Amino acid sequence: MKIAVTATGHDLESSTDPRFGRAQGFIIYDSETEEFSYVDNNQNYQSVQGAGIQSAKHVIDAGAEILITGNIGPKAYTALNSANVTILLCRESTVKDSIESWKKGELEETSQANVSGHWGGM
Amino acid sequence: MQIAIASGKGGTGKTTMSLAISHFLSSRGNDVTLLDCDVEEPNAGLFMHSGSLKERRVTTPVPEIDPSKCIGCGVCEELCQYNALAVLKGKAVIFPELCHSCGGCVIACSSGAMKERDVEIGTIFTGSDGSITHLTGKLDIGKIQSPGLIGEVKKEKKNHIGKINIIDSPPGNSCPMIETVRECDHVFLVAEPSPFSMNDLELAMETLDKMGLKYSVIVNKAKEGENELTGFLEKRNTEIAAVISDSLDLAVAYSSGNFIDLLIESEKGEFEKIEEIINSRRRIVECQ
Amino acid sequence: MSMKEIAIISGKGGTGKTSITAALASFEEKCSMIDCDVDAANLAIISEHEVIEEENFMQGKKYTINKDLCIECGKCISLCRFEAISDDYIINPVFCEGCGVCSFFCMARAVNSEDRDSGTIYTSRTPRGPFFHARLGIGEGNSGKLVARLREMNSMKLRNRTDIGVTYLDGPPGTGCPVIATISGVKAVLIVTEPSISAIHDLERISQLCRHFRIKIFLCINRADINTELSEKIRKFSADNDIELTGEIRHDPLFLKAQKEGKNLVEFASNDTAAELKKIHSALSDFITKG
Repeated sequence: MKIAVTATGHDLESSTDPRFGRAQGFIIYDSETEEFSYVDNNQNYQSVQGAGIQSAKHVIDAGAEILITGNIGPKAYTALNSANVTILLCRESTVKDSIESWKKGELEETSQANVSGHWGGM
Repeated sequence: MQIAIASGKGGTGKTTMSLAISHFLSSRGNDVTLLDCDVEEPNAGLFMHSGSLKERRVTTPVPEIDPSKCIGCGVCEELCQYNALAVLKGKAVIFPELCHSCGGCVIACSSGAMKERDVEIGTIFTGSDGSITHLTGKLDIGKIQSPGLIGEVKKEKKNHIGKINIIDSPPGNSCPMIETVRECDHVFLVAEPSPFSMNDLELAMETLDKMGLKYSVIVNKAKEGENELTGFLEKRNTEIAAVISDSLDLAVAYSSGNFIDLLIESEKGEFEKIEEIINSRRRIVECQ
Repeated sequence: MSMKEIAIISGKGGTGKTSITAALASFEEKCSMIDCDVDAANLAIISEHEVIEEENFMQGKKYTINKDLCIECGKCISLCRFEAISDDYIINPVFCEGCGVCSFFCMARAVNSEDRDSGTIYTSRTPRGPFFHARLGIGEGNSGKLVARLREMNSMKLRNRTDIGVTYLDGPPGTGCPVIATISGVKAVLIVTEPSISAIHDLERISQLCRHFRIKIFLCINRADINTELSEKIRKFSADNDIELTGEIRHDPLFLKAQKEGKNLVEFASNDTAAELKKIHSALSDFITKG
């Protein structure tokens, strides 16, 4: 199973990024092979609107079934939920530690957005 | 005849002037309608005495997706400039709060998976106080479609020859203000002699210049011996429609709502000047 | 992510948001500020600052019709819901929402697009910390997006600044798009009201909006002495709705005097108004540091 973790760097030692829509990138970790890859989110980091949805697309397209992040907004939640991605919330730590916490079943699953959207409309 | 009252900065006296001008023109035998287009915080109606109000709910179209028909082609996502649509696991998903109701996706969808449904955004209230008809647009809390609702308020009471619409504008110089002053025959900008108000007035004037609209300025809360604002307008060759003196009595009367007669009474000459500007615009507009 | 934002809003315009924002910030040793009233921005007028960076606010697309390619079929005019295209096939940029429908459906491929320059963003330095402000382009919309962009720039800037714990946001009037962009996700809002029929009506709507987004509300009354009866009504409103009334400022001409000298009242005078502002600041500060 593939797990996506919002990250500030390219490897397992990097810190997790508490943000989802404007996370710097994602570590995609495969729990069967224990291999990982990095997906850059820099374009979104700069985007003004709909960043959460585009980040969700990255996660879904990478084939992840679980996402570990700090905060999730309403639109990102809707997007991930529509693709049946489980969202787990973590405190700030390293990517490696947050994956370990997940393996031990310590992370809490969220069934709703935990922050309001950071958006601009018309 | 469409006359908008705008300002740039909030709290300079737009609503006060809209009400007073409406009452003054009505007392001079004109057929006046007052439209409150400050739909996020409409206040003109608070000062109108009318019995029952007629209500109409206003909606805006937002697309809806039938997942059983969606083939996940992504045309809608490619078209949408607001990131309101995304194809996730082969099906389009809509994020209505980002939608600007342009209607493009529904036309572009070739599989017939999209149609529009109406989403409520606010209410238009219509009433009358004596001979003045008044309309108020009120945006639902949490909604962002102010320009859409403003457009509907203006459509509800179309422009007629021989009639005057006084339109109370929202503050600022962005979409809601632009939608309000759009296609108006004249705009009165209400300003007061403060650095904040003058800064915002200049932005409002630039906006109206860019739109090619005619305007003049009502100087409100003018203090004797202070000429920064009038001086600034004279230097720019901007028409000063009227100068209303600062008065604590009026401020107190305003706070409790009993100010219209007092204001018209004490500044009668100034309202006559405003009337004259409207009449001369009217002659030009109605000739065309 | 320890940065905490407080937005100063009012619903009705002209109740004193900007003057109070600047005064509250001046009680901080270190803080950042954002002027979220981007289409009528005034905070810079009374805040000592030096602009250190300027960038264009690029957002969306600007569309134009190439007359040489246009076959005048009328499709774009009939499809444009914003009535932005004239009968002689000119797109009015003031009314254009940038939806791109004209371009997408043009059979002659006559509609060009380019990135739209919608204003200028300023990053400034103040004695207390960074200050983000902007000037929305004349006739441009999307003020909400610009607000979101300013807040994003602030949070990026503060990522590596452990000395700054609070950001003051000077909000726009109203309850619409730029207001929602200002208050979404903030730690608390301070509503500035005054004892007038209009302001009280707007207070009810803006507090409803804050509750809708589940944001903690603080309240203060400006010009409280101008109508004691209505001030009492506001007190009752705050008690009934469980909103903390943090202070009552009397009608003070020094606000305008200070404004004319490019200062805020606290820098200008140490009278009872300044003391009341200090009290309001303490109430907010207590809440912010608590959690």
